[in-house]
Amino acid sequence: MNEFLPREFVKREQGRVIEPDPTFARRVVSGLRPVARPAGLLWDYIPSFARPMVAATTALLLALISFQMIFSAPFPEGDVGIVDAYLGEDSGPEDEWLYRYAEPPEGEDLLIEISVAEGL
Amino acid sequence: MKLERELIVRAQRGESEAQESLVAQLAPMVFRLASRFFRTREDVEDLAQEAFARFFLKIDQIRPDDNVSGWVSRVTINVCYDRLRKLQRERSAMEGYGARPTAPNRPEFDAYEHVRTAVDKLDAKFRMPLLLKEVEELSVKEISAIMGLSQSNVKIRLYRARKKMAAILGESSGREVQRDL
Repeated sequence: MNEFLPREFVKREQGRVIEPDPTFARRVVSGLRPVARPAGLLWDYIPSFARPMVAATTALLLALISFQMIFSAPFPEGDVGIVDAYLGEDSGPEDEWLYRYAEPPEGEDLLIEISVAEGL
Repeated sequence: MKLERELIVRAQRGESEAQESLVAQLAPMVFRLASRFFRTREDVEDLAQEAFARFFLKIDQIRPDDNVSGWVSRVTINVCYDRLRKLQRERSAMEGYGARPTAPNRPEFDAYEHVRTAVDKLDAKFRMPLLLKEVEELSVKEISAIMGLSQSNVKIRLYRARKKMAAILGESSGREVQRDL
């Protein structure tokens, strides 16, 4: 097995192992305490291997939100809806009754509406 | 050595109880490795402390499912390598100023000390793979992983280490014969 170094040397070397004393672990950790970073920020609780992924995801989300805020179509202000804003220039008051109601008025009401719209 | 995932996560959070438990579990392995290259308790303990300090400095980079004991053994080997190189530089500087290392006074020829002295004369980059292979009985693959070298590089270092050892042993045994005459 050990063809190169003399067997006696290898055996003595294998037996020569210094063991840690029972207080070693405590001494090592107490030596670490002064350099321990104060925890508190959320970032401190994220393990460093996960930080690039978290940072990339956050940056992507922020970029999407900013893009949407800058480039998305603004909603019309006041009582004017999207259809009104779009058709507003081409339509006169006579067209209003066409899309003002979900259900068109019946009978006499309809006649009044039409005569108002037509300017009669 | 399989360490509890939770223990590592807690140690990463800075819980001293978990850190202490982690050190207690890994210390025998670290001491064993350091004992291969250093002989006094002070040296071995000092190296082990430095290895753990380096380990805890970078503990955030470890994934809890990683081979943590392998990580620690690599750190230990790096610390040992750095220290051996430093000692070697100091010895060369001393020799450069004309100081000669004091030879131990040996009334009778001791084969173990003879080989040990020869091993100590080897450069750290040859001594480490040699002792890991011959004494720790690690495979070339394991040595390459622990030292961060390619397998062919380890084989070359082992080959050179053996040649150098043969040369040192041959030279010193020649001197022993001359002294005996």
